[in-house]
Amino acid sequence: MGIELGHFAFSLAFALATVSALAGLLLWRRAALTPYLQQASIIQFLLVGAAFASLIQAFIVSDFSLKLAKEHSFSAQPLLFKITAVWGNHEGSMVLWVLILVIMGAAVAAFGRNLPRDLLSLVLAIQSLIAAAFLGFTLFTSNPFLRLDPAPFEGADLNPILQDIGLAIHPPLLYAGYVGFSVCFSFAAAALISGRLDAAWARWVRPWTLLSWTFLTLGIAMGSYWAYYELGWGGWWFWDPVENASFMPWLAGTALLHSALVMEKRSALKIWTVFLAIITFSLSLLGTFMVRSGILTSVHAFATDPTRGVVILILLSLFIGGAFALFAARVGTLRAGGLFAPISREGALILNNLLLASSAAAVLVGTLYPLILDALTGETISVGAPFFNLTFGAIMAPLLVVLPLGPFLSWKRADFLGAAQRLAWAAGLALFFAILAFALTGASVSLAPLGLLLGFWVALGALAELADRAHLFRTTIMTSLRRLIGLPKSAWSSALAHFGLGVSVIGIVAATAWQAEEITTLAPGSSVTIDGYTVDFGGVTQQQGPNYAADVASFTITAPDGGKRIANPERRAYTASGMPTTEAAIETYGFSQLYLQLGEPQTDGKSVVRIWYKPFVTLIWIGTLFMAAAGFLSLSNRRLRVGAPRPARTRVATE
Amino acid sequence: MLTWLLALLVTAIALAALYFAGVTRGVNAPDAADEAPERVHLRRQLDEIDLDATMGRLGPAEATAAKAELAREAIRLKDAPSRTRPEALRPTLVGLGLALVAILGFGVYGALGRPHLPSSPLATRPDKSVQNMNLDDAVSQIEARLKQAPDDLRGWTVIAPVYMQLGRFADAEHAIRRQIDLDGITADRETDLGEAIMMKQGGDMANEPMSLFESAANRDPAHWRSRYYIATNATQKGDYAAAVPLWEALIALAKGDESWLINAKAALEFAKSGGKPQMGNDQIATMVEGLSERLFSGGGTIDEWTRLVRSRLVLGQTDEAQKAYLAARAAYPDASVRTELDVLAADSGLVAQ
Repeated sequence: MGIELGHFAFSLAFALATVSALAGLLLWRRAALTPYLQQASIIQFLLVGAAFASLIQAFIVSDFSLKLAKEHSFSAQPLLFKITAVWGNHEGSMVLWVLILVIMGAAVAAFGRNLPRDLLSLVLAIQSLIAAAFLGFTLFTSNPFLRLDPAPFEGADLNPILQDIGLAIHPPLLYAGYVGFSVCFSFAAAALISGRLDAAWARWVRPWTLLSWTFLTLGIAMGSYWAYYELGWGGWWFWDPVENASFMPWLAGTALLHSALVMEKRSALKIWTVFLAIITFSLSLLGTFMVRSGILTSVHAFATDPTRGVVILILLSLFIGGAFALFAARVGTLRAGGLFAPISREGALILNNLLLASSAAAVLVGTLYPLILDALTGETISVGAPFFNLTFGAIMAPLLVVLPLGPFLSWKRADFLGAAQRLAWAAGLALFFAILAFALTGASVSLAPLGLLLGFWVALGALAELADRAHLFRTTIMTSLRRLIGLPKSAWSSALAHFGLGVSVIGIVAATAWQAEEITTLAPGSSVTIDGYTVDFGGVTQQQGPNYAADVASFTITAPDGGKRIANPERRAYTASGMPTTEAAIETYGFSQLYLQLGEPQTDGKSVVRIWYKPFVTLIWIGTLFMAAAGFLSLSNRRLRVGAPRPARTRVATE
Repeated sequence: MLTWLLALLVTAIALAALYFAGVTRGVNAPDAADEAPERVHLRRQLDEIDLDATMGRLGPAEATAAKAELAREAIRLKDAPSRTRPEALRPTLVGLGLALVAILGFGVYGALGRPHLPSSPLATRPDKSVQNMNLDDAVSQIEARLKQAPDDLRGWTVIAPVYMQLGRFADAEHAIRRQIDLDGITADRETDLGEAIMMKQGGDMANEPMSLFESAANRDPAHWRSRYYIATNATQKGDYAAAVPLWEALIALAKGDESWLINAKAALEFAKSGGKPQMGNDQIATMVEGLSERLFSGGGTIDEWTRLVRSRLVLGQTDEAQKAYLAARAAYPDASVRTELDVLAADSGLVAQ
């Protein structure tokens, strides 16, 4: 009964979203409609929430009369995985997707009371249109509420790789990011329809861009860390098409974040910002299409059903095509923004946008090219990490070079040399650290010290901005400190985000360039040494988990400083599916990690063991945490932002 | 029916909430946002500039320039016409929208849902599904559970006779040993273990099975199964002098309606006569045919069926025994009442399908 009521609630939400979209698009000029649409958005959220809760309930009590539970759950599964199993599959994850979509819609309805009514009506109507499309898609092609009669006795278990705390965190964060950009998309389309496109619009979109970007950052970082510890390959980024599918909206979203900033502060880049808002959500939809259509095979490809692919493709073309048609029709009526000189904060942000957009394009080409080539000629090629590392790196390097300069430039027109001078000490210090690292690692010639130089440059440049704004060394320490505390949150958040990016770059470079790897067979009692760490193999024992049997190895790690730790990597065989997984043991020393993976047992009693030493690898994710913290900090800043222009020199002279 | 009622209730609440949201907020005075929110935004920006200027974050020249920009924006805004139309929505329009929501919602659910199918959480349906399950499924279920919980005595107890029936005697032996490990030794378990090992050895009672049967008989003076095997063993070896008191002791344990009694009596006569059957084979065959005819036409107790199967086996009529066994299973689908028959069938290599 609970399931059927959930099914009904989901159907009613579909009906409500459809009618809201129709009414909103037809009658958006009527101010009296707005409260209906607001209430409808909140009711959609309550209905989908109830439907989602009914699925969770069915999974918890192992109600295998629900087909979804039969296929993806198991009565002996721990409670957490019974709950996460709800979205560890195509149908259920669509419900989560839609749930986050309607949460966003309800949030716009609840917090958007100070918006002009026509704009709010349009935003909610378009949000409802998207919700109706995906509610309909879920109901008619991927219905999670299908039943089985008679109910089977036992379920088939969740994919063991997904039986991890990561499934509780990664998809909701990632979807919040993906779906959050739908609000920006709705705002963009609403602006195009209503003609309301100005600094105020940018101010209203800001929190949604920030929120989505922050969640997407966390979602990608979490997904990367999960892949790192669960897949057992020791890698944290594979340029897998599905990873790219989440990375492209992030790149476009980062560009949007910056261009919306220009728009809010300076009324400039309006058309470009609208364009980016459409692009970002389009890339999110494209990602959804690639993952769900089955044209990709990966961990994420839950179900390969071509019909679904076609339906998503149609939805994709309708939304993207519709938005761009609207864009093309209305772009002429939009007023271009303020003017500015090439060397200015605006100019720097345009450069940032160009580079981010080209890197997104490069990733898009690398991801889609093999698919298109396969479709057209039947030839299968794979575009691998070398392509991405080269093209993406080549675009990112100049971005990182100019990044610290941006915040030092003033609005409208700027003094490049002055900005460069104020950054001189950051550049010197970065160079010093890079050379130090170069010398300490044996002075071998490679790109690594250059990469480190960029990382330090970005991180120190961000600190330099704070120091400069606090007038450090130009006044007393106490005054500087007071100034520092008094800095607006926007200054803190941008410095924090840029610092985080620098930290991530340092981690990426160090972990890639100086990682050590050892693959060997070990007999119990023997040991191996890697980068100063001695690893003693104690042997393998059998253990029983709740729904799996495991071979658990015992290693004693002796660090260079003499400290000892026990590490227990596992190989598990899951009862219901018979699928094996490996659980790596990861020991963190400072920012570095020792990564142990237990391989196949050999006939002579030895075991294959893979060990990696990854210096400073955790900095990659710590950097993203800084970025996300910056996002939340900026989100908490309710103040309006004004970018005061630097007055023209001539006019200053005459005044 | 209940599902439909609740669905109706949910719809009514949702539509009422929607209706009143529009009516009440529509009647109330317009909120501040109704009046040129862009202008409000500009005014707040102006305040920000003033604040920054007084805090010293902004030089006077920059502040003036920023204000000048805002002023230009404000002039432009003044000329922009109002876009929204203030009049209320017609009630028929609102009613139409609400009706459309209800119709669409019920239509979609009606087409896709199964309102009459009740939920069936695992905890509320332990027995029903077991009956619908075939034997292989059941075995793999129980095996999966035992892998999770190797200390589940009930699981081992349930699965041991099933293994015997499936001819998986080594597995049965393991299952019985687990029962003994977990719950201690009893005469029944010793005998079960002896049977499993005997079948594993191809029906040979020598060595371990025999000592297990003897230990069981010593453990429980009233234990007939172990004694039956011991007596049978003596008879088969031709040690009739030893066999006669064994059979007599066994028969003394019987209450009179046991299915094995007739065989025990026949075996006693056989041993007493020093190996010559008392009754002629044709005589026995006639008796058995009579029993068979009665059971197949009119049915009988499970004990009678068991006796028939046992007699057929004694006579070496394996095919007939198999037929009788299947008929007995059909007459008594509940496995719990025919344990003895199933064990007998398993011991003799009869199959369940």
